[in-house]
Amino acid sequence: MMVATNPTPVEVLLIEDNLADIRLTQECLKEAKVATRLTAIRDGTEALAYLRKQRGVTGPPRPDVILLDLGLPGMHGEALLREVKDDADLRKIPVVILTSSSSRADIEEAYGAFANCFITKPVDFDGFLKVVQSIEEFWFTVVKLPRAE
Amino acid sequence: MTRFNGMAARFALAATLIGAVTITVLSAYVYVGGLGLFRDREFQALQRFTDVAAVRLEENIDHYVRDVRFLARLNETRALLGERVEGAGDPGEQLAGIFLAKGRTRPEYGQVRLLDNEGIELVRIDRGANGLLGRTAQLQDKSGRPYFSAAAHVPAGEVYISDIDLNREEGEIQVPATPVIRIAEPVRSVDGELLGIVVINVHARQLIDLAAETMQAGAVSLVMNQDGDYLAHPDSTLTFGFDLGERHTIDDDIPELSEFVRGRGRSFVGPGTFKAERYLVSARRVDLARDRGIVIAELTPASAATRGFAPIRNNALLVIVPLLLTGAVAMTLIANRFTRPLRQLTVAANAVVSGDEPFSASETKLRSDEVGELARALDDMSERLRAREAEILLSNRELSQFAYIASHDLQQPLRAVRSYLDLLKRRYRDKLDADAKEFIDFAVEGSMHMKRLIDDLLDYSRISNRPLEFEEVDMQVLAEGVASVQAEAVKGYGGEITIGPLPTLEADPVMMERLFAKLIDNAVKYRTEAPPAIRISAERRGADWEFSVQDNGIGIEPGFREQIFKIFSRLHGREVYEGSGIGLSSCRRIVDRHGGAIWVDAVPEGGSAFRFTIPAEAREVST
Repeated sequence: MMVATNPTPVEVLLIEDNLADIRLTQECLKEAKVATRLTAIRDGTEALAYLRKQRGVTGPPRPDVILLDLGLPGMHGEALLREVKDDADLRKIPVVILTSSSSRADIEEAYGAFANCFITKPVDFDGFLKVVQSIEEFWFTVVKLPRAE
Repeated sequence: MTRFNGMAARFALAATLIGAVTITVLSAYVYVGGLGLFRDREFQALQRFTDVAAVRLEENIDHYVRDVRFLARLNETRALLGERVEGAGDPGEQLAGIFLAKGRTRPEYGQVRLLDNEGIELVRIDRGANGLLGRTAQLQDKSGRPYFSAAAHVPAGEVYISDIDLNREEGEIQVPATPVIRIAEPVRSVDGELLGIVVINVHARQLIDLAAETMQAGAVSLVMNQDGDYLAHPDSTLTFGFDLGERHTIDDDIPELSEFVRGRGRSFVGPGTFKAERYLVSARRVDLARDRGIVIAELTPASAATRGFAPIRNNALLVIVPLLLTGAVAMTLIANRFTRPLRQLTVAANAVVSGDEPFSASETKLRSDEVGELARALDDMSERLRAREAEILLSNRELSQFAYIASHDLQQPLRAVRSYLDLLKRRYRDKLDADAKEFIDFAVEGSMHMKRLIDDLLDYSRISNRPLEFEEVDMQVLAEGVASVQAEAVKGYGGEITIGPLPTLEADPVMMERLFAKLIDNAVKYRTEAPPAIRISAERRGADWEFSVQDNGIGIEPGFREQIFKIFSRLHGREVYEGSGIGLSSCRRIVDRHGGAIWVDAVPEGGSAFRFTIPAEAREVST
């Protein structure tokens, strides 16, 4: 459901290896008020390469927000988070950790690596929808995000 | 490293004691034996001494007897007594001459007399105050004197010997007191008729002094008559008491001798007490008349007998005491040597217990004796223990890792199942028939139960693995905080939670929170229709604090009170109460790790009281 008043859709980069979750996120965003364009990458290393490539003029569009799972093949989500936050340019992009973990250690580490927020995936669809809607509400409408020029 | 209550010390002590006892017993045996020998020697000397004195006395008396016999058989004597004897001049004059001659041979002869059968003196010579003998013209009647009648009745051929007493003149005791002994022989006619008596009065002082001569300084000599009366005594005032009016007898001094003195025995040897001192006593009888005699006793102090033994004893002690000390030192060294490998084993075993060191008593292990065997057995045991411990640690770690990973990794697929069921229902609500919706509901319910199981398992594994962080916890504040979460719900059922007073103690606050949360949850969950009344309290019991979370709920059957703390045990069908059955296992884990215990008691009015203890001085316990 695209909203006409927002001509440029919000670019969402979902870094997640689980197809079911990718699809679920897609389904949730479909029901969102804000127009979004979701790009899903299932591998950490690939995701980092993708993010670095968008710097060129011909590269893919810079994401407005990154939804990052922690348990990733290739590069672990947390390592990826550190890379992003180490990069002077990429660090401006808000990173929402969206993971099945609720472990205290994971939460501590994520915020330690400058994650913008940490969300444990709820078990049911309604819960998941609520989470995605909250992300949308907060990051896509309430907050003013830096824009790539 | 040497301990005074250790085996070595005890062994050394025992060996030393055995040595000491043996030496002491042997020494005592030898000492008593030696002492006995010395005493025997002393007794022998005493006996010899009294024997010699007695023989000397007897020799003297024999002499007197021979003299009396000689005088009684003289023709002159017989003539004077009326027997016709041919060719006699003045028999009295001649006899007096013979008497005088005889009297001069022995200075102790006081009187020599001839009495007729009426007791009238016929011839009498006396020793005067100047010591010279002379014939006394004044003759007396002695018929009333005891010695006359006694001598008159002596059987033919025998001589009368009197007791020793003080001489009397005219019935009065002569002054100075003169002990005297009378030797007399009757003179008889051919047909046995008494004609007269020859009597010699012997001054017995010399005789007594001879008998009373002491053997050595410190020795005591006593002479007494047949009745025990003293004739000689170191205190001369005690002598001849029977004559002087007050008797002093051996019974006053040495009762041990009483019987001997009055009996017929020849000699006595034995210990005796004289003036409250121990003496060795030898006594010897000297016969006078048929059943009369005198007793000579010689006493030496018992200590004198052992005096000779003292240097021998002291020399022996000089040898024995250093010997004992050397023995004790040697025994200690030997015992130490024997137990050294044991101590090494202990040190090695302690090292195994306290640290991760392997059993290191390599030296001891090489021994070929029993200790070596023990060391090898311990070595084997410690090896096995270490292997087992490593195995257990590994499997414990694996198990908790497994529980964590399993529960963690189970979340993902579970979420997919649940979410897509939801999505299915959401998007295809209109296209599904009633059956399809019901199937989906069952699937959702199953996934929810699965979710709870996974969460609790995760919780349990976290409780088991997370290191405890002890700090001072005000349990009152903590419990109130936890209860506030449930307070609304409880109030909704019309009940209430009362708390405290609870103490402040050392514990892991996060764990304590979980513990209270689970117990309060439990109390709320298993309520009856009645308004829930939950009471949290604590009591000090010895070294522990005992907490109680009491409810008025459905209670627990006695047979299940132990079982409920086991993982995955559930007493109720899922339809009535929700829960995985892991909650109380987690509670038990928390309490176990704090070093306490948890159990459940029935409340008489209905309901359960979950009680757990936390040591007042709590420390983490590895279980």
